[in-house]
Amino acid sequence: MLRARKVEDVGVVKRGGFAFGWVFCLCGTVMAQALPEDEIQINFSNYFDSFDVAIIYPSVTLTKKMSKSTSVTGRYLVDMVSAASIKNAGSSGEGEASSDEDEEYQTRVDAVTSASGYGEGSAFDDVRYEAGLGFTQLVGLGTMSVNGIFSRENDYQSATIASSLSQSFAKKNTTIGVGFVRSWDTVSPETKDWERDKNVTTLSANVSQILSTRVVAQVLGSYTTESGYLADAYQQVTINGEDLDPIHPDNRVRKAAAGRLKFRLTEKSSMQVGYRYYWDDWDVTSHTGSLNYKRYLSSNVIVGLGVRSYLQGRASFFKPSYDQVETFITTDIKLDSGFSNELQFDLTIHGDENNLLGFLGDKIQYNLSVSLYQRHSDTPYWFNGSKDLLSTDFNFGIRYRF
Amino acid sequence: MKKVVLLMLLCLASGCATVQPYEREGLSDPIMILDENAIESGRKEHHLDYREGTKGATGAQSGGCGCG
Repeated sequence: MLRARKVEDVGVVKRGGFAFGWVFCLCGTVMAQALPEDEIQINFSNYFDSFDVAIIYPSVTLTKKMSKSTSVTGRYLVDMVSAASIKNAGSSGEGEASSDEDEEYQTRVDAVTSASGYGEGSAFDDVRYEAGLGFTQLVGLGTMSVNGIFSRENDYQSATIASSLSQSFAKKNTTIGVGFVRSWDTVSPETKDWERDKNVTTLSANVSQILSTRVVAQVLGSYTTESGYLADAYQQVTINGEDLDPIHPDNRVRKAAAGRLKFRLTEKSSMQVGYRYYWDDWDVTSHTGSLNYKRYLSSNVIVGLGVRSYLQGRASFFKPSYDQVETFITTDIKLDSGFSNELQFDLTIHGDENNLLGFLGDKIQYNLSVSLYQRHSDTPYWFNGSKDLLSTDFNFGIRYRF
Repeated sequence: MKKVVLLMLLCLASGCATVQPYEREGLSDPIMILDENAIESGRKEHHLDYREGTKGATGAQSGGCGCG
């Protein structure tokens, strides 16, 4: 019985589809020929949304030069996922909630606006552990990096290897970068008695160009192939009153192209504009525009404000409802048409012996970031009937260079 | 789309005067570096990856979970 409850709870949590994976950003700055600085970075991050999901994910990253031309990076991350009020609603009955319970659930979800609802029961419903190790090597006027990541949770396992090469040209005014990522994943849902593989390969390239003493531009492209189990095993498609597992194609080819332009407005401020176009063979397309402003408030305090807008088209096989079983069926909201908007706020404080936060001298840096996100989908989300998701994420980071 | 990318590349390659190393002080300022904090940039990108159905061409390389 206890086991059944646990499986049910995990299933509910997973319906939210949330688990944070590590992303390492290897996009070149213009200075491709430099090794990363020796530093330790500790981040305390959390996420809350109106679908009643809360995630806390602390991480630590250590970067150390091993020689004049080699640097090693190690990192460790823990995802702690809680959806306690969802779990509380689910615990009121066995199995799938009835219509009345759905209404009760909806009411509870709407009522939850903070962490106050997470005090009952187990602190976390799912925990994921991830470790990574990589190195960066100077190669001529560029760098080469190789990173390995291993991630494990109760129903998902992943091994990833990622490599990148960047090289500068034209008196270091131009930097070209290429990347390769390969993941070998295994999906083993707790509510199923099967195990499936998922393989992802991504090729990427970017070109950074100094256009003037005040302007830098970058174009990026990526090509990703996915194969294996590409659906979410915890989602259900209801057809004529019967709950069925989603059926997605076993392959997907994703392509994206983007451009970014960063220019100095004044001695104390800069602006970045960006645009991305995405398309894939499931007929999903998207347009993304972004605008970011950074400004020195003082010699060691930088504030950043950003806005991002996103417009997505629907996958060819996504339907708000199905009358009969088709070759592919899904309720995955990420395949529906819709849009999202995000507001971002960042604050970076560099240590200074003259200020209160600078007790470790000028080697320390504090980062604070907050974002407010709103997503609208044209079809209500399958398990709570909502078309709109509101979320916030918060990060406090300490970066110490040594 | 290929034509658009090619056009962007040509613009980048042809429209830029060479900036000498001693003229780049302003470009190395933290407010002018693209993805100055790579870890933070990657974290933000991943937040978006799992809430939206599309990804890529952000400069971030991801792996490690089934949420993308």
